Amino acid sequence: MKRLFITLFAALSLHASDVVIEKAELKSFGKQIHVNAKIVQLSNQRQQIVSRLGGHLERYFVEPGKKVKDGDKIAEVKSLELSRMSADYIALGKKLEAAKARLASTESLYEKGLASKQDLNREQIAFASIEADRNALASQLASLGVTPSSLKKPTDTLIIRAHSDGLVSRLLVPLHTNLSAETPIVSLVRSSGYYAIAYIGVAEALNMPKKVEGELHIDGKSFRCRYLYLLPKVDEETQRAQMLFWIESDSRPLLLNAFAEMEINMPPFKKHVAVKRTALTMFEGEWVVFVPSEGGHEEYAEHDEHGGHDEHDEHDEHDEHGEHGGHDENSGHDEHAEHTEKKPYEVRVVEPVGRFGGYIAVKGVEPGEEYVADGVYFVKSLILKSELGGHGH
Amino acid sequence: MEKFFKLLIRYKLLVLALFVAVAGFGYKAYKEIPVDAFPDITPKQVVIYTESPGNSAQDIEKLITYPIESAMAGLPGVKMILSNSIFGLSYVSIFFEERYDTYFLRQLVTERLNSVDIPQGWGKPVMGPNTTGLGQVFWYRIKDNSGKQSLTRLRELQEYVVAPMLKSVDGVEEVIGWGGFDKQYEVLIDPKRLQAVDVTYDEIIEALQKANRSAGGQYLEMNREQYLIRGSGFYRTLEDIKNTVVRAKEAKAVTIGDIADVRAGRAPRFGAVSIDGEEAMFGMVLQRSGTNAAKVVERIKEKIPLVNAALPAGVEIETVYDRTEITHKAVNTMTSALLSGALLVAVILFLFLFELRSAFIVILSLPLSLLIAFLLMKEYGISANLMSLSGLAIAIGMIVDGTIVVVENAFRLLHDKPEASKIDIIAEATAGVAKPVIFALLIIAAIFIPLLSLGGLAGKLYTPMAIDIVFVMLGSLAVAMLLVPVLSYLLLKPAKHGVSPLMRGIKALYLPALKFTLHHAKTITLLAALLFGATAWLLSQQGREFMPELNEESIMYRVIGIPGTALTQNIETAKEMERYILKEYGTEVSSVLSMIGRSEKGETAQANYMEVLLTLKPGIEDLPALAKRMTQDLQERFEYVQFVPTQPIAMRIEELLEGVKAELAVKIFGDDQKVMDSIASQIQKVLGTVEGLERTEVETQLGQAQVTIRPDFLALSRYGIGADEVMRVIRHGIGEEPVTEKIEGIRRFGIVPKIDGAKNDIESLGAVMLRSASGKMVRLDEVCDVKVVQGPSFIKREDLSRYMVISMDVEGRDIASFVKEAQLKIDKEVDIPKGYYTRWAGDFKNMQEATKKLMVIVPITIVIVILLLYTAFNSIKKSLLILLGVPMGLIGGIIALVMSGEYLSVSAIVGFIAIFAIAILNGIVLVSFIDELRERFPDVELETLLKDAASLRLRPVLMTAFTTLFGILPLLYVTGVGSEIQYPLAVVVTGGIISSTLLTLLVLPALYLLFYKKEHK
Repeated sequence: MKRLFITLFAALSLHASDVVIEKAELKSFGKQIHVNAKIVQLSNQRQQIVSRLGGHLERYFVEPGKKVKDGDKIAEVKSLELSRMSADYIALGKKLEAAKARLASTESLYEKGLASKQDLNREQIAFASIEADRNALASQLASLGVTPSSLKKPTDTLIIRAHSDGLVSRLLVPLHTNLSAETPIVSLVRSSGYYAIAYIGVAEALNMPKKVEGELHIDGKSFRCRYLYLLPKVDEETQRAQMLFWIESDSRPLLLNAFAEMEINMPPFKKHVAVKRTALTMFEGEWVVFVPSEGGHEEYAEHDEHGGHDEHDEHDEHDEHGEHGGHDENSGHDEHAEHTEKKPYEVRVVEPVGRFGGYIAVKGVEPGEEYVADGVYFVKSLILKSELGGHGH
Repeated sequence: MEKFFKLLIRYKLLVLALFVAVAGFGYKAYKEIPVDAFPDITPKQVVIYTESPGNSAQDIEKLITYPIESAMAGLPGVKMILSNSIFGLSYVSIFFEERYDTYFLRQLVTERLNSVDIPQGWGKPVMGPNTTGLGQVFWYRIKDNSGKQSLTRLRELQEYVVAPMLKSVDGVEEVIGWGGFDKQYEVLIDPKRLQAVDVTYDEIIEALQKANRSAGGQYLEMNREQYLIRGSGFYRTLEDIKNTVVRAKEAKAVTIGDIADVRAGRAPRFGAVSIDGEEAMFGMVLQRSGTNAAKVVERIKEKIPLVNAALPAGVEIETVYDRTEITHKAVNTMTSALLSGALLVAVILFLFLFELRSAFIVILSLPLSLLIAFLLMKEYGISANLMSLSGLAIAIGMIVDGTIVVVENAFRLLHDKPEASKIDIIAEATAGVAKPVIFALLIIAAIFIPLLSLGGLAGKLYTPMAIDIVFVMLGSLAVAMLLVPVLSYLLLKPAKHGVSPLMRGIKALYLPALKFTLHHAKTITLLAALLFGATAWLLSQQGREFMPELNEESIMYRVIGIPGTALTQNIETAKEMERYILKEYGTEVSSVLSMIGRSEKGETAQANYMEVLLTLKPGIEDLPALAKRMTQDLQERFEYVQFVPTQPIAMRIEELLEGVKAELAVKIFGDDQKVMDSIASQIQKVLGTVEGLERTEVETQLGQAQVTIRPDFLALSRYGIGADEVMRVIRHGIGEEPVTEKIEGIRRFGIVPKIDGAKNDIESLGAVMLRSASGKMVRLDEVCDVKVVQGPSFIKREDLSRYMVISMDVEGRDIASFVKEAQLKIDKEVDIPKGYYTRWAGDFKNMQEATKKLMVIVPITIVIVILLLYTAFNSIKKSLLILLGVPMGLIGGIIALVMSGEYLSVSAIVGFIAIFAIAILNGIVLVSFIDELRERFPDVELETLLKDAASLRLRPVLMTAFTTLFGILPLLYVTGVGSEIQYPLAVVVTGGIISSTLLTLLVLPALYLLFYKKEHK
């Protein structure tokens, strides 16, 4: 590491309060980037509610955006088919009763030897066949939401219900439309199904660690996001790689296809010696920090302890100095020597290797080493001034 | 000759009327002549500045400064071209030969400017105001007492109310605002949102430009009436900007409001002004060159109530600096010197003449000659300033010389010939001395005339003085030859010559001394020659300087922070410093003003530079001590900046000296700034070893941190983004250059499509998103190389060659010897590569130039004087004899200069020239009288004749000497603004008169004896 040692022989008398010394720390560095993200839903998170029978769409019980629970009424359809089915069911009930009666009389005749075994078997088969048809129809009706046991007369009213919790996304069919069977009429969105595609630079994407966290900012609200995976294709329009995040949304609704800002935080993955951002400055074409050189620091610590009083002390010292030696030829040198003992700083060339928050990871400073964390301008000014505007004799 | 004087006496009433008229017109002229602190010393120059916002010094040098320089280089009369390319500004100053007219030169420059090829969007070169270097005659502050107005609003008031009103004042060339904030409207764009709405940055610019239009649709006629048709599309409200449609897709329009926040903001600025710890809005009025500063300020002051009336309630103009104050101080200094000189002369005359009537005539010639000089000054457009008035003060004692001689002779003859007709006696008396008087006065004028050819700054400074001396001597000649015979006729009476007790005493001492010198003529002459040799050697050892420092009775500092210091930091420093000064020096300082960075028009200061002016309370006893103490204190308290003490006018003068703000500087010429920087460091080191160096300062041109954004063309092509689009984003989005304007009445405010958060830090700059027309998105640092480097903060050039300056102050030693020693050391110890060279500049150069000119002027003057003397006496021998009196005068001048510890400055040299004149005058008076006696009494022994002549001429010789001495004496003791400029001159003249008079009275008769002893026998 290239080191530049330019020692500053000057006092930071009253501006000592502006110069803050801190120790360089080892810090774990991550990365934070801000990119665009689009709110999307994956196809398996979307449901469509279909009318399983053809018919006339009479009414909706919901409107878009309405939250529904499993079993909630969605729509009412007047279905001829349901009407026929329910009529069939009622008819089958009656047929079943007749078959049952016929079977009972054939059994008694058989016991009396008046009917053959064949006759008995035929009646038994007929009864079982009607019963089976009725049961099948009952089950079909039950699946359509119609309770067969309560069915006294035929009905054509088919109530379509939600089959899961969710949010009505769209009403797919206008009212009073004749529907054929299996027509989707309402689109339902499962509330836990929001995702975000973050568009990031290709190079960044390729170097993305697995463990990243995202935070989606939209209109002043923030949503935590969990990184799932990198989509295999770049977005053709933007030429950006796409990172898929699952939005750990609470119950707040989000708008699909909306663009928002995604803050991607790559967690600390590497430890570096870090200094505050305010410590860095450009000096003779290189990034540098200022560090107190040997001997100078103790003096500084002492001043810190004195707090605000050091201003006065320093001032008095100057005054005294001026009184007894201000005009002789050596006075300038005396002053020099006095300041040399006080606070020398040296310029340390550093190489910034990473940034995170208010810190910069640098090479060139040892952990625990003291550096000027704030007030760098004053230190730099003094160094440059001593280099440029020298005093003569 | 006698006839002429008789005629004059006969038509006495006409003569009297003529002089009454002259006096009247003279007084009118005295009241009307322009008054200024200093003569206009500005060289003939035209300044061209080009504002090129946001561009670096290197680019500006290449693309703006160089083309302008090379175009101007071919203009006729160009003496020198200086330029300074700084961040956002190109400044080219062309110096012309003095003989050209300013307006003609400006015309030439304008024509040439048309041919300068500067890339589009890089700024438009404009000529700087036609003002002088000392043209800042009035400084003011727009003060808000109500506390309701923001700095932005005050700036608006400056630009649209105050400046136009003050500009309309006759003689005002320009009004410059400094401080506050320029309002702009910001369209704050988050480039990431562009993806959402599918628009590009360019489309936003285009939309803003296209929407903000108006057009005229002529008119229509209806019902015999005319209705004008007007397309009024200019933005009126912020909502209008927000509603600007950027892209319309079917019915879905994307507006500015959809993608950006629109708000009123502040434009980036390059300077600020702080007064007493608070930022303020400040303005400067520049006078047009050739106008009268005092008059301009007077008119401005008359206008101010009107301007105040136009300002909102609670806002008013407060005067910060007014040139007339120093002008009046300087003029008062000189006027009081002049008046006390005149008074002393009057007293002396009375003491010598001991007769009221003759004293009255002589004293009357004083104001009359001065009034004639004022009349001529007005006629020739010379202002009453420090230099021209000092010319009058110097001449005050000499004015009466002619009159004294005439009156003295008339008085003597009236006494000697009581029976003769008065008219004949007066005519005879006047004619008798007319020749020597005319020649003496002509010789005095002749001695000062060559000063007029002194070029450069010295010429500009001392020409008005020389001219005024000539004018007043001409005036005095007219009075002596025209009015005095008439007045003598009317007032003088044949009376017993009153012998003044003073004269009696002097004679008692003088005669034995004269006797002794005549007896030891050779020894005395030899001693005098030796004495002259010794003093001449002393003079050659004396330190030199160009001009004594003008004391402006003010404290001012140039405060310099390290290159690259942010404006906000420097504003903080200024505020802190102001509060500190007011706290610690509250009893002496009433207000502190800091002008930080640069104002709006063509100033070359950077954000790290400020000028701090202290307004002092009256009654400070020891200003230099206070200034010294304060400088030391501030240097210790704010040691991270440099304090360079200066004064308002002195600073502007320094700036005029080839743009070097120091009394002495080394210029390093070459191409590579890094090499020049290294040479500068070496030279600085060497200079540190030279005795007398008080302070050096390398003008660091390097050290400005720059974030360079270099497009990667291949990377850009991948995204279908052009480099021009990137540059547009940098220029408008980051650099905040407006793309259109919101017009509010007559006021115009830029509309800036600004990228939100782009300038938070270096990282956020790289993170700015770019979007191509096809929708591709990319970060700026993905397609450009974003690097932080250190570059030049400014580039200075002289005659198309780059240079760097090391300025220095020399204390306790004269500059000339310092330069000599320093140059030797530089030659020996500094390694200067080929293609690089150094040159001294600053005050010293002017001294050098002036000395060079004087080396030519002085011999020419001597030749002219000899010719005049020859014409008068018709004898080379006599001319030389009189001329030999000159070294006698110089002896005293040199001794006085050495004793006073003053350096040999141009001012002192002018003093020596004055002595030259006095010595000649004394010589003429004595020699011509000796000749007269020799003619009348050819048989009398020469030694006796010489004794009688010297004894008889003692009174006029002493009178002329004493009047000159006492006339100039106030310049020695007067204090106040400007007094120090003439001090060396007064010192030299005082010493010179004493020695010249003594030696004229003692050595000249001895010399005469040596020259004519044989001949007489």
